[in-house]
Amino acid sequence: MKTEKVILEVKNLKKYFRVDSRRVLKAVDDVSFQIYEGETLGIVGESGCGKTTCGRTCIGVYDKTDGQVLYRGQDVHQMNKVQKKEFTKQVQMIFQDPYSSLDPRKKVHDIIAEGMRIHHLVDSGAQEVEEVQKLLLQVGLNAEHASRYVHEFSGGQRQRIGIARALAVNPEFLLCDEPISALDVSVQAQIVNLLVRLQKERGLTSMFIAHDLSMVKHISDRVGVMYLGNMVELAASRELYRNPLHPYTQALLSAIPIPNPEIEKNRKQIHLAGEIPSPMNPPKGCHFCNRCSRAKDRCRMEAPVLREVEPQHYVACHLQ
Amino acid sequence: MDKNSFLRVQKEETRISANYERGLLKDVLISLKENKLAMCCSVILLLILLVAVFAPLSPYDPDKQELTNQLARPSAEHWFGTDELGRDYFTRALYGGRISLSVGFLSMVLSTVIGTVIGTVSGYMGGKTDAFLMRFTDIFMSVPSFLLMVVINSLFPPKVWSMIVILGLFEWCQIARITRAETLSLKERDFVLASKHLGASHRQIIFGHIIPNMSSSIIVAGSLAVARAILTESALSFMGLGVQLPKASWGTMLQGAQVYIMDMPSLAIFPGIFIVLTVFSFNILGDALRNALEPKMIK
Amino acid sequence: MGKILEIKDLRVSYHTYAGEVQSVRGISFQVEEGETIAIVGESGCGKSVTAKTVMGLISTPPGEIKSGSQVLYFGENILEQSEKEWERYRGAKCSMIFQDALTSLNPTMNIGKQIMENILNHAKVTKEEARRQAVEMLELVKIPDPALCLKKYPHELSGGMRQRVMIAIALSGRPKILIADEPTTALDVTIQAQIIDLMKDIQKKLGTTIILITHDLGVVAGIADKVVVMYSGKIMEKGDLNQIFYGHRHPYTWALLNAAPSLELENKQQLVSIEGTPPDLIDPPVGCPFAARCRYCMNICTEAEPPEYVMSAEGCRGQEERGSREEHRTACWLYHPDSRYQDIEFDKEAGI
Repeated sequence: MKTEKVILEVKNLKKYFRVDSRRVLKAVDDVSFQIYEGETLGIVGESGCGKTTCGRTCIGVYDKTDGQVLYRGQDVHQMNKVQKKEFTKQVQMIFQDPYSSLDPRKKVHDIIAEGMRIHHLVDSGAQEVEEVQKLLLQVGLNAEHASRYVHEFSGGQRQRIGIARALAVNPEFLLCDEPISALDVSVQAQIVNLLVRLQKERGLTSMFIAHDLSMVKHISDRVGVMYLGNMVELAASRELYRNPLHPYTQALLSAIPIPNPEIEKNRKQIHLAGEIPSPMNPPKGCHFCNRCSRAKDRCRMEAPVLREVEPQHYVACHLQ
Repeated sequence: MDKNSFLRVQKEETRISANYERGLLKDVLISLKENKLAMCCSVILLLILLVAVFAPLSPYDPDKQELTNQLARPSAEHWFGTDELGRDYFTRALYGGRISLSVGFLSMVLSTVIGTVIGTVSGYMGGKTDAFLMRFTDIFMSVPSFLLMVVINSLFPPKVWSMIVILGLFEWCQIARITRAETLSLKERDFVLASKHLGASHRQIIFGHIIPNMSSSIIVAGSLAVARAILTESALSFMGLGVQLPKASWGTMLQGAQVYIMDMPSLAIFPGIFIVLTVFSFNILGDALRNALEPKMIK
Repeated sequence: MGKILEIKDLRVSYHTYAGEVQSVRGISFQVEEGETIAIVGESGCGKSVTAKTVMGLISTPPGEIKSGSQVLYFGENILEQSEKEWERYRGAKCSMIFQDALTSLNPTMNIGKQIMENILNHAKVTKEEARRQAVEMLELVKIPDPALCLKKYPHELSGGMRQRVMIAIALSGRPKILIADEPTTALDVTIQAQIIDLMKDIQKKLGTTIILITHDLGVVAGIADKVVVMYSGKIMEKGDLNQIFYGHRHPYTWALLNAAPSLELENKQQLVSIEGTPPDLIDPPVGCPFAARCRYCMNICTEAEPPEYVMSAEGCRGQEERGSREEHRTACWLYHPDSRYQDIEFDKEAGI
């Protein structure tokens, strides 16, 4: 692991949603991790595990319930207006749904230029046009696309426009919230290639949220696995895939269908009994205990904490 | 097949998919073309609008009395005949149209502006602001507005501009409700979140993203509001509480025709036809606009 | 094993206000009894429309099944049958499960009623017998405590359970063919694995023929016997599982297989991406629909539609008459006798 500067530090972050007067949904429950400058941290988990909420709380889109998120030492949730505006210039996000994330009444040029105008990054209209065209080329679109409306574009092209919009303010941190899950396989590869290239070119730090483990492994330096609001395992991506320690990670890895009939025929799947419990009412102790084949009494009583089992390999499990 | 057939081609640029979604205006024009009734109505409206605008071209003065020629039957000289004071009834109807249409349009503009602002702010801010503004709207809606207008107009001598203000003040509630509902769904869309996270202010988001995206609903609600305002204005004028004589509006003309309804029904029929045609056309047009603007058949 | 279903030159169009969308443009394939055939392709390639046609679910208008299209169920053209016959066919001979189980189930009716209704529609049995069969069906799809489940409503079940219930309902009429339209797309990976296993299990027990519609080649690798690869309303390549995965000849199949990152791949390595977007089906291009995005595109590809070539392990065996034995077939000009690229090796690095 690179011993670089920590850019984003999340300490015991909690985010609860009040469903009604009696029930509370603990979307993110005591999660801590760090993101180093220049790396890509992947977050995987199944639906309802709190990965999107976690990402959005980290960059201040949602208010936190408890804990702390420090961006370059500054508390994300306690910024004044000026700091907040500066923060939005440094931290940008890419959305999952390429259809609802772009304003249908605006031209591509205006969508991309919006951030530049808000932050007064350009002095003249001519410079704005030039910058937008540069961005369009960078994300693999044509300069002439600037004068069109978004409904003329396909899903992949829209996602490129979304990326250009995020890059327009020259951010250093990018939150990618399932940017490819709404796209077709062949287009997914285009977007992933683009993201990898842009990260390299611009030295971006990013947090990549997805449910597709193979894609996350491909794009991330380190990967965190979430289950029911908890981070259950965090390690370098190769390490995690070679040597998964948490039973949930193991099951998740074994469930990925591999497009290779030989492997499919011979592999042993770890079968998880049952389904994810409702995050409104998670099991006591380790949240995974009711689906874990190796659960012991202790797992049902006491929630495990994330600890370093091997160098740079963190697991929250009593069995390790 | 020549021998070049099996040579590899150099890649050219892939074209982007064709555009099947059309702009707002084009959408409307195409759906009007398909809907004959709506097409008819817009032609009628356009005609009424044009003749009202160009009313001063008429050779007669609407207020000039020609006492020797009272209650004349429709003729080549006086197309709609004359009224009890010998004024050319056609010219008066045109001038009446100017008043009725401008009262309808301007009060619609007023109510749309008020309604949109209240509805959008209410929906966007949420929480206490929303609760307060919506209760305020509820109170306005539960007031029997027509009776209140009657009372207000009988206390203060009504003028054209005061009619516009009063109609506008009582018509905005519907629009506020529509825009609030739209805002609630729009503000959850990712592009609003994206804009917020680019550092845009609330004002920039409301005017830059939310209002443009509900323009179609506002247009539809507006066209129906014009029809309602024209009807209310006619009703008030008919009761003598609207536009005051000698100024003509279609409502006051109807009122004046009451006395002669037995001898000269045409005095009532002509302004009546104008009112019915205009209101009917606006309603049909509103429906057609709704069909044209709301369903997005091709994504 | 005989042919249970044969699709011949199927063409389906949708009339929208922008024009005629030619969703399926002349496809032919056959399904043997008891096998699992996967139809693979990206969104908008016509795979779902094909499935709907086999189920008789194309509403006309706006849909239109072009004349000359044939769907033969045991040799009988079902496209010509009456609505009455369709009703007897659906559920008893062929049934379908959908991607979104929540919208496909009736939210106001409990699970038991929904299954029993289906059983009573297809067999003359008493209510008691129907209930017994319903419990049996739920046991078959491995729902724990089936008797309790009968009383539940769809919203009380989780996504995976709902999908199981849907399969139970689909199977309650004992159909010969089960069409599964993206049955696992909306599910999480761990649940997806359960459902796939369940489908394999059912096929073993009941011998049902399964037509699986999906875009996920990983799922296909685990379950299918035969694969049909579709692109913009046409069949690009078809063959058995090994032929498609290890002996694919069509550039599109190759790109599709290599677009997903495998776990062995080096981190952040370039993935094979297919540039551009699928063609517009209102105004489909002349020639091969994939030509504009194909790395190996030749002049002829944009001029004329490629015929189907029969492949063998040694290479191309030349163009054969349609309707002969089902084999590995590829619709690509690369395998024309005049082509110089017959022994093409697809290369990841080339042309990226």
